Amino acid sequence: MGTTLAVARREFRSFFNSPVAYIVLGGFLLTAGWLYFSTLFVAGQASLRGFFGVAPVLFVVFAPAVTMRLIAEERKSGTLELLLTMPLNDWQVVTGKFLAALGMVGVGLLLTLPYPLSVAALTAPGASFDWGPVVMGYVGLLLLASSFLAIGLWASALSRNQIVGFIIGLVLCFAFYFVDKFAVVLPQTLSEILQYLSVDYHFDNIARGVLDSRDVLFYVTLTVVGLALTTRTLSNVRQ
Amino acid sequence: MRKNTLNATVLLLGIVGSLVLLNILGLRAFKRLDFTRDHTYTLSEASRTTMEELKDPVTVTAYFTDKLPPPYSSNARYVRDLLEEYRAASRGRLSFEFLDPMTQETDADKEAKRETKRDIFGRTFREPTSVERELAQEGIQPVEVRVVEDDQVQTKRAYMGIVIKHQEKKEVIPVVADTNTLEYDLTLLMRKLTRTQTPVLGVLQGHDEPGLQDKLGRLKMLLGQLYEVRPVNLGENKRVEAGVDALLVVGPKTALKPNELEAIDQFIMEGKSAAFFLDALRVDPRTFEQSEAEHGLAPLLATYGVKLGEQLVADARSGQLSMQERRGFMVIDMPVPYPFIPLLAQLEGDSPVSKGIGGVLLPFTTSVSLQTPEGVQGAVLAKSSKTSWLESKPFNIDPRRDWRNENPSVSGPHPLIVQVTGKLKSHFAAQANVSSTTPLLAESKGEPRVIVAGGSAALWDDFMSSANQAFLLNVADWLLLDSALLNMRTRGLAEAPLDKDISDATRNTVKYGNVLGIPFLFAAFGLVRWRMREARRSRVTV
Repeated sequence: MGTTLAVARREFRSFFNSPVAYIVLGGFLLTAGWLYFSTLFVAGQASLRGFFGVAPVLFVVFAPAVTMRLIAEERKSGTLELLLTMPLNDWQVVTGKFLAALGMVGVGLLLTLPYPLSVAALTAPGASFDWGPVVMGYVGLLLLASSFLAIGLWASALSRNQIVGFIIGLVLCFAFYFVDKFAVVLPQTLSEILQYLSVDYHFDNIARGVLDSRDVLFYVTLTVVGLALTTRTLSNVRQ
Repeated sequence: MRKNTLNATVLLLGIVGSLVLLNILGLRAFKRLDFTRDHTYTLSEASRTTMEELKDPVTVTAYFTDKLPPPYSSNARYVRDLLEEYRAASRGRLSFEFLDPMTQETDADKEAKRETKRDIFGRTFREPTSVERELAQEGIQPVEVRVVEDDQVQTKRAYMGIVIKHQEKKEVIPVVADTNTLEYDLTLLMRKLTRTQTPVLGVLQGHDEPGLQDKLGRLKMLLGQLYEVRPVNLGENKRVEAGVDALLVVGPKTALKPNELEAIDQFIMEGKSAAFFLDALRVDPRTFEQSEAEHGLAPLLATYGVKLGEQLVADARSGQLSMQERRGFMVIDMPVPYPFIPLLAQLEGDSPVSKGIGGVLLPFTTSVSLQTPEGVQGAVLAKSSKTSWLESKPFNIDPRRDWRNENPSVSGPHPLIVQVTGKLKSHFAAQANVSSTTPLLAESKGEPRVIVAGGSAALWDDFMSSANQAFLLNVADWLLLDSALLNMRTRGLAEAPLDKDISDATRNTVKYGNVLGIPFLFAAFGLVRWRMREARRSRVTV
């Protein structure tokens, strides 16, 4: 655990020592903020539904952007070999890098906390702002991000080129986001499975304010599978 | 080396396999935690108590066609989850089964489905199968859904209905179209099935009121689902008949006789509740002919603390009328805004009657104000908008009225519906001590509830929108004290609105502060950190 955290700390620091964190998170904050606040006053409702509507789509792009260099760059520059010769298990390296990426997304989400605070302050007198769905929305976003990051991490391990890693990650995350959107035009048995595989479908449930064990289990599954695949790919690289 | 790779692959497959298995198992055994403030997605208190109070078994059969395409498939999941919670709360009194009607088909049915015939117009049709006939008899309606089969989009007959049975009685939800109100509907029907006595809602008649059969048909139908709606004709009686639990006075046009006023007053003094929807003028919604209404209830209501206005409220935020306009040889329908139908964006106050309801239309209404005596609590339930004004007699309600050159003096908002509750004094209190054959109550027993609205047209069939229906049902529930149900109907429907009076400056500060301010501060933090690191690096000498 200690070694995993040491890897996580190192990676997390390197995010914020390079412009990566500022560009990725800045882009996320600008887009999410603009998309949410441009419709907030038109709708006139004190809810974060708009933000939780756009955030998963943005994560499709931003999660692979966070993870793309994590393994690909180390493979390219040759530091991965160095890292793997250290007394570390492959899974410790993978989990450490994953936690660092999750931490960075966590910082991004933390920076959006003024949204609910300002909306709660602007709620009409007499009405009260419901914090339940907001808190659950953030929990849901963290779960969704963790599954996207695990997928992105695997994509990054697949190639030496971080752009290729980004594109593979983007395509995979995109697939898991949109998989249920065209379920209507597919045969019924398949459409039900596809709906279950959609990260957005599970997120919708949580963002309503209901934490369902089925939804949490789905995200945990996707994350673990992503991390297991990354570990497997990494051990191939080692050989 | 090769063995290691094989082991790793087996391990990976093992992990993925067991997780998939765990997910499949998780679909059956799951737990939900509801974090919404009103516990919108948990079985409400009203449903729970209804289930706990069940004495005899209730059986629920959900007829859901298997493998429905989304979004219907999630409806089925929701229904199953909800019924599961009902069953848990009922301690075994409620049992339910999920049935796919198609699995009940016999070979003869399958044959019947293949045999299509043609009518004289060449349209194909087929005889209904025994399952379809049986379901139609139960009251379950098929719906057409679009599915993809054999690479083609086809419409398919699907069933999504629920039948609830208790003893000999039965209630049906023909199609589960909206899961938002499903819990309310189910609890309502179960209460209706299992209660021993039906509350009686009396509707005053005999003063040229809009008829329960013609103008108030929807009202009768809606309230009739839950209550016994009974016309009350007072005649020469000084008391309302004993079985009536609450009274509805909708648009009397001719004056009530003194004995009738006394009967209504004493009905309220007995602690029972009443709602008054009173017109100052009656309008025919087709011809716009108007006639004055002289009900004579104003002094009675004034005693309770409600003052009826005499001027009509007109509002720039209004409903629309469809006007026919001739253009050349064509007649087209044109929607025109009509100020005499104020459209209420949101009802007022924290009352269970008004909570969560928006979009109510209140046509041809006067203002009503509160002047409550001590000990009586009053609340305004509905107000016209800020852009409303009062129109005096003679009223010009012509929909073709040209508003372009008019500049009405806007004086809104005006209160349109109010409620009073508490210890009310009798209008006939002065006569209470005078010896009489029928003793008078000078003060109310308990705390009766009285609702007064400045117009009755909102309850007519012509204006019965879904918002008006919800309002009417809330009024009836509140009068009959079923507040648990009341809370449930509007639960989760009302999202907190933003403050309407936010200044442009505040709005822009919030908007740009969040959109640009946060990224800017974050970037500034990054820049400072980078400069500090650079400075530290330059100090390090080799």
